[in-house]
Amino acid sequence: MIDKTTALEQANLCDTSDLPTWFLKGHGAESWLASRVTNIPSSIYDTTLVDGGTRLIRTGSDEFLIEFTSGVQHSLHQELLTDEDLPNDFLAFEREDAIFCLTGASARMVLAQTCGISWDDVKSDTLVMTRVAGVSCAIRPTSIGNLAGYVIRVDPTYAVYLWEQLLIICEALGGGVVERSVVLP
Amino acid sequence: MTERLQPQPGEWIDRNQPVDFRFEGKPYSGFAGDVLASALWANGVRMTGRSFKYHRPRSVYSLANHDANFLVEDGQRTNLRGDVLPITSGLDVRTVNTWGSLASDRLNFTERFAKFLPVGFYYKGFHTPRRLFPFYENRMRQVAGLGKLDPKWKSQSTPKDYDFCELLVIGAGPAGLSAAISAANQGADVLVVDEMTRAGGSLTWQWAGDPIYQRLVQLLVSQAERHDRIRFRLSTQAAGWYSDHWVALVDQQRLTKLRAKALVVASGCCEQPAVFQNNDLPGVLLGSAAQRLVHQYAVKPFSSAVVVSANPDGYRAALDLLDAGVEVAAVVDLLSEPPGELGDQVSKRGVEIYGGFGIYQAISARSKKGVAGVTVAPLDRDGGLDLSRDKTILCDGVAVSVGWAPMADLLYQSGARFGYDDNLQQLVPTSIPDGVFAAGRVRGIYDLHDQQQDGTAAGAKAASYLGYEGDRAESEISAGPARSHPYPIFSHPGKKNFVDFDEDLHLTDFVNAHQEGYDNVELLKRYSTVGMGPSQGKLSNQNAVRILARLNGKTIDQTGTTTSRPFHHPVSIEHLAGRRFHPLRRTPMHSWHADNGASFFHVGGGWLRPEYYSQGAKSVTDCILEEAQNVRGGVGLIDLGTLGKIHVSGPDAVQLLNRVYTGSFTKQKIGSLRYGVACDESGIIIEDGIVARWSDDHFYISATSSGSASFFRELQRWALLWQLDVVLINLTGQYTAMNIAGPGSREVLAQLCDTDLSSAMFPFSGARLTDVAGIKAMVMRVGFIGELGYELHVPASRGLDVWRELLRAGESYGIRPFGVEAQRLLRLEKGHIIVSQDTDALTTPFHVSLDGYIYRKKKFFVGKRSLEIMEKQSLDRSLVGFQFAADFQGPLPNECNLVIDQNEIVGRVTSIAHRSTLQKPLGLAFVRPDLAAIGTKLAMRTDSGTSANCQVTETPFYDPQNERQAV
Repeated sequence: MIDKTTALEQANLCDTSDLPTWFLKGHGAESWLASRVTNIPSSIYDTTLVDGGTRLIRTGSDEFLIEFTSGVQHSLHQELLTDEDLPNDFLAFEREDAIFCLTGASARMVLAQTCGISWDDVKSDTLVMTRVAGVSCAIRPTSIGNLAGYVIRVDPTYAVYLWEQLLIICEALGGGVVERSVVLP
Repeated sequence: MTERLQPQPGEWIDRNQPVDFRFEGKPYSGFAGDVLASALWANGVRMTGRSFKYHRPRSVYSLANHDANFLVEDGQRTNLRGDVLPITSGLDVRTVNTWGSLASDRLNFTERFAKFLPVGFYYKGFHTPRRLFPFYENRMRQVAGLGKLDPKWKSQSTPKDYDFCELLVIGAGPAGLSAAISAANQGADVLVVDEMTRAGGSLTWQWAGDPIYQRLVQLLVSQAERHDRIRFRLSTQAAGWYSDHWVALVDQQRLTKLRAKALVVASGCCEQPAVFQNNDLPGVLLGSAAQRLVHQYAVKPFSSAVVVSANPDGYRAALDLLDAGVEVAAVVDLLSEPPGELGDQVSKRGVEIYGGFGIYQAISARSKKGVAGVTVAPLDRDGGLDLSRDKTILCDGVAVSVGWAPMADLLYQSGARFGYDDNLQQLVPTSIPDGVFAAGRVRGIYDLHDQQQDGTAAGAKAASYLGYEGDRAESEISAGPARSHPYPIFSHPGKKNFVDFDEDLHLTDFVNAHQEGYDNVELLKRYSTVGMGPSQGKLSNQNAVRILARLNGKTIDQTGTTTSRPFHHPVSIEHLAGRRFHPLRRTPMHSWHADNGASFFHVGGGWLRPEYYSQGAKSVTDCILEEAQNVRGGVGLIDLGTLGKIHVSGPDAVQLLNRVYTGSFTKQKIGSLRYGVACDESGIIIEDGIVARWSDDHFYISATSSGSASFFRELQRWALLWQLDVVLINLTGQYTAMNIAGPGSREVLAQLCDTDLSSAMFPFSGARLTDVAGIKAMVMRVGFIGELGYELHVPASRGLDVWRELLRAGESYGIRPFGVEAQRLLRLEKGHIIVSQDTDALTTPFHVSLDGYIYRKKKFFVGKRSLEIMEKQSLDRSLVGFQFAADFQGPLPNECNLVIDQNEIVGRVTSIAHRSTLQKPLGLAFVRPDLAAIGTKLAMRTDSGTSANCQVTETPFYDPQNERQAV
């Protein structure tokens, strides 16, 4: 495991796949959300923060990801878990994606070796659909704690492969796996 | 012995860091900063290689990586370039293309057979009599080729990466640096790339003798290096230009895929050889190479030199040689008038200038590994040599400075057009695409001050193109006098006046090729191989075009040039491969399989799946058969996590399915399954699967592992095109699946599931949403393998839990996991096809008896029209079942083996099981329709060439009444 100082300087990986993410898609998804939270992202791939650090991400005209943080019992999460009350006209289910946080001063070098996006052209906290090491991913550049970083979301069937590839490169750059407490508040 | 000079201003070596290395088994010393060529030259080593065909002694020629005279290998890496290979402690290299050693190459006799090895000799000889061709081929393969591969060498993954910039400047010489500074001052983000280890370009060798230019290079380089909008990548080649300014940058460590928004190409020129007898002897160098030796590496090139010149650069080289203590015996100037002030300076230092003279030959030293002198003669009116007035001048080296060719490959690749400038005697760009700019000598601008101005203007234009405001200075420079001689080529009966050093092509080879009809530049290239060697024509193409133009009586423009293609210098395959990403998908139960003896293999869709589970010393086929038998007689469990899983819902869900599949889903009952066949517009089967209906407008498709991704894309595409109101979600990774199958499967599942699993309440082709082991699941009664069975789909994160629970519940029933091969055997016994195994790119539902799944009354589905047309035509083949007798002896066919009838190919095997639970080999094959009748005898050709006879059989082979799956 990497200490905090090295974490800042190098490129590090942290697995945050257990943080719940819900997916809403279909007619009425936006209005259902809008009736419960303000600050819905207006453009596709934009994200907004709502109470308690919950992040809303718009992925389509009536399609959203909701990223919940750990230890926060947001009312939205509770409502989604007891889905008998949900309207039938849109689909809602908990995503099983793997989520990796790539952080550190050399994080961009890791992405330079695996992903063809120019991150200078991407606004922080917008979602980018791209490929990393040959697999489709959604990446959100952001600040993670005190570190500049990237939240990488990938289909769980590719999780082991992608983790291994990213870790090889992080280690080649002097970094490695970092504890969640180092990167997440 | 050392040829090392006193410290030179701006030298590239660090005299405080001596470095020991070995060459051809002998130890040598140099300094950090030396390249192999300079270090050896400093040690008095002149011969550095042997030529490709004749094994003639060769040496350093350009010292700029423009020639391939000096290729070495270190036992692991091969074809390293001596011109640019830094010496490091422990370096131990030998030259390539020698038999024995460089000094006593056993193939050096080849030159004596030059008469039998003219241009294109391999087209004319060494192929008859035919029986001797293998002998010739093997001998030639042994002697041809450069470098040896170490088969044990483990290649390294290199960190190939992406990079971005607004402006890429190629070349860190005076024009390039000026362009970078100019553009960066206007706000552009600039990346400067140069293949040399230091910035400065020609300022570090051509002008380095003058203190004014020494200060200039320091000023330019420091200004650029300090600029916060300029980055440098040195020792990096711009290997090729691709669409939208995607440029491959290659250095020692990696290939970078750079995307720029604009380019300035300031890549300069490469000095060109003169063609004369023995122009390849060690000791004949380009003038620029001699200057690099002096200024960059502080090495004295010769003791006594003759400079062959046709421009001011030759005179500058002569002055540099004099300053380095070289005796310059003469300047042989192909032009009749020396260039003004420079000519005077040379004369004043006692050097005789032979104006209007050409060089006939370099005289070989007795050892044949060096120069002893030159023979020169005045040029006549036609540019030939008047040998009646020849002169011999003694020397041990010749510096050649007769012209330049632009290093314009990236400009060509970007779409620039070039024309021949008769004033400059050089090709110059006449049109350049948007976003690309050229500056400096690549444009024919040679005066140093003009180069800087031109670079500044190009940088400003590039910045404006990128949207940055600033002074748009126009370059008002007109090209000066010619720096290149129009025809520095002299014939000689000895036929060792080389045009292409890499391929040992001399002047007469071109004359002969032309006579044989290869009078077009592309044909000449391919027939003679000019420009096809490791230096890729950098030193040969220009002269070759000149020769061809003269032979054809045409201009250079009329003659044309060959197409410029990447790479600028060879790029290792290791760099091209990079880290070699091979995405692999795993199911949630993967670790369980690995811990329990699974033998994995790769299946379509990028998945790793258990092929079978090993059982001690049992053979693979025994393991597979046992797994299958356990399913037939008991209960088995297979991981189906790889199956495609697609959610379809919305008001138009039924419409979408009806349009995409051949069947109808309108009346499909809720809680039931329907088999779907999907075709493309030609009526070819592209996918099959099971569709479960959960509500009026909610369906769930279980699709194939390898085809589901593309099928999902098709569904999305059609939904968009037809503007259907549907929700499509690819749940393949979000869920996992498994199948519990066999007579005992109901009892096992019932322990974990409250739903009534009886046949009455949950019939075959039923589907239920229920809990299994407390986890929400979709349960479907399917019959792919012909037994009672349930396919369970659960959230991926709970898959392993359900799997373990099923195994625990089934323990007393003898439950065992079974792998893909057992599943394939079981489904084959049921006669069920696998799309893309038993179908190909020409298979329609009619070929494989799936026409029963076509609902002809639908107004439209994808492929309907094509199927209607095909239905009226007779079939060309049919898929049939076949089986061998239980006591069959002999080799059995494999998949794709042919079915033969009266010496004609009448079909092929698509699936076969050599061992089955029915105790006989059986399979599926395409055959000509007249051979498809039950009982027809078929002859199949095996891999060993023998014929195996079997019989067409009705399918399914197993449980023809389908009773077992419907219990």
